[in-house]
Amino acid sequence: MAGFSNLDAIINAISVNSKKQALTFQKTGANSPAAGTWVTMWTATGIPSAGSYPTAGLGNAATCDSSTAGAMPFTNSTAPATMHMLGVDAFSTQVGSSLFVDRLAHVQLAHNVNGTISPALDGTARLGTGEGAQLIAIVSVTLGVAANTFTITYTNQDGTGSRVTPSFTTTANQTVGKTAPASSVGLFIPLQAGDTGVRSVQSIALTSGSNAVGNFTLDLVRPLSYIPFSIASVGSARDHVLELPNLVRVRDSACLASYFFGTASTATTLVGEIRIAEN
Amino acid sequence: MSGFASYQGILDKLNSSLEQRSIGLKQQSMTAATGVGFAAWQSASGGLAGAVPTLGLAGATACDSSTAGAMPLISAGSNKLHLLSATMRESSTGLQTFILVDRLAHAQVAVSQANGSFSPAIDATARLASGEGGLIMVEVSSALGTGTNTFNMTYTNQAGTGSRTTADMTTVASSALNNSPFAAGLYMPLQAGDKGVRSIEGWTLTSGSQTGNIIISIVKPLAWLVTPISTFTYERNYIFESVSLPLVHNAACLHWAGFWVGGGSGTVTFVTDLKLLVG
Repeated sequence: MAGFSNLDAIINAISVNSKKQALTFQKTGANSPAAGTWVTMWTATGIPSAGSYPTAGLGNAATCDSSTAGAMPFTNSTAPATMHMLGVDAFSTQVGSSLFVDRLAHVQLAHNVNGTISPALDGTARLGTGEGAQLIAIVSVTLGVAANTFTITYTNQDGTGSRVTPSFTTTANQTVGKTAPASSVGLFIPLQAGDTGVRSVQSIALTSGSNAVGNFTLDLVRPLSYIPFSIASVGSARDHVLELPNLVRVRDSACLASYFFGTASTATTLVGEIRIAEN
Repeated sequence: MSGFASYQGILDKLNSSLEQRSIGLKQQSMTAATGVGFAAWQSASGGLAGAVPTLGLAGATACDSSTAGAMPLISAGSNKLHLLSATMRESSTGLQTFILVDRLAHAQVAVSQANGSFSPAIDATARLASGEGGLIMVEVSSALGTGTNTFNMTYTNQAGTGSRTTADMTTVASSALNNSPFAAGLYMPLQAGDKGVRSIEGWTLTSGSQTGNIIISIVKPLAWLVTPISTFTYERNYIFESVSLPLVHNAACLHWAGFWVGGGSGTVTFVTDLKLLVG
């Protein structure tokens, strides 16, 4: 049977069956946020080691899993059991928030990219039927002095293709690690009306602008857990059993990674542990 | 069957036998810097000072509950001992983030120790299950001098694969007794793909001639506890507040480590009450 049927099943899994894993992380930011912007912790050094991006180009999209450098390693569940997040304890040396994700796939693109992503940026390996992921654009090489505007064509959570995002515009001179669109867009690139997620991305269209300087990535991620850090270096906790009873599913081979939302322009160090368990 | 199969099982056990209490008291000098790690191990007043291994590559020893400095513990025999809750009152003027660790083994070296092999190795395997690893924590045992040193270690990872190498880590000038010598974080970053350490075999000084000594230990983090207002008493419930029921192995060498939040110097007193139960 997949999943936990009640609290007793969780206690039994932890205590009798020793099915809990604690995944320690310690990442020192390679990138400094600006107040009110998100940065990726993918390229931060520490535990796990720094991740990297595929070679820039429309033909180089790659899927990610727990063996990808930069992912937090863990042991997969044993079928038919399923793995769930029980909670997170962490602190940040800077006030802000973190988002932990399953990084499904990524591609690195030139700032003036325009064309078909082939093979597609494909998140389906760890998405259930009817489930979609979110798109994040992160600067990987500092952008040039002028902004460009794009739309992205994707397949939505239901498998319906030819869906198109609203236009989004990059931020001129945006530095490495930060979100490529203006901070007002937030972390995720907005989707076509009615869509809840993205299963794959087929193309990106440059609709205005021509600045060729810089690169950005498209990260296709499944958000798992948010944790706020309201006081610098004071630990915060998230319990996903009773406090926020959502028992976030962590699929086998998930590429666990994080982003940080800064309230100042200083890079942070994140230290903590994610607790997962299978039934 | 050992362990708790349900919450009722925990209640039944509490009704039929007393929980085990482990009271800890440590008082140590503090030179705190925000976000810097520390280990409440070597301090003495009010409790036993933590044993400091003989200086040098030949002085590595395993640690257990009988090691001076460890919080007292009664063996659970063939059953399992779980941490139900922890209480902490600390007297400093700064806030704290605490991590309860099982100190598996340690060695002490000069921070300018010449390259060589630990003989015997720093061997943590006595309380590590197959496929499990601890983390490498470093604390200052004799205040560091001016300048900085950079070093790494070779180790055997959680899977038993040897000749793995940590990232280079650089010390901070004048790091104080009990503190981590690093600017941020508590643990040595491991080689990409590794999630733990079973033993440490080698030491490599990459650069520097700083004075002072450090203790290198392999620890297993067990539980987090935050004291957001100094001098108040805080408790963490590991059944309902943070559903994790940390497993405490027989003969575990328990002590607190963590992160300073406020700066300053002085004397800090840690008063701890662990509530454990055999299932």
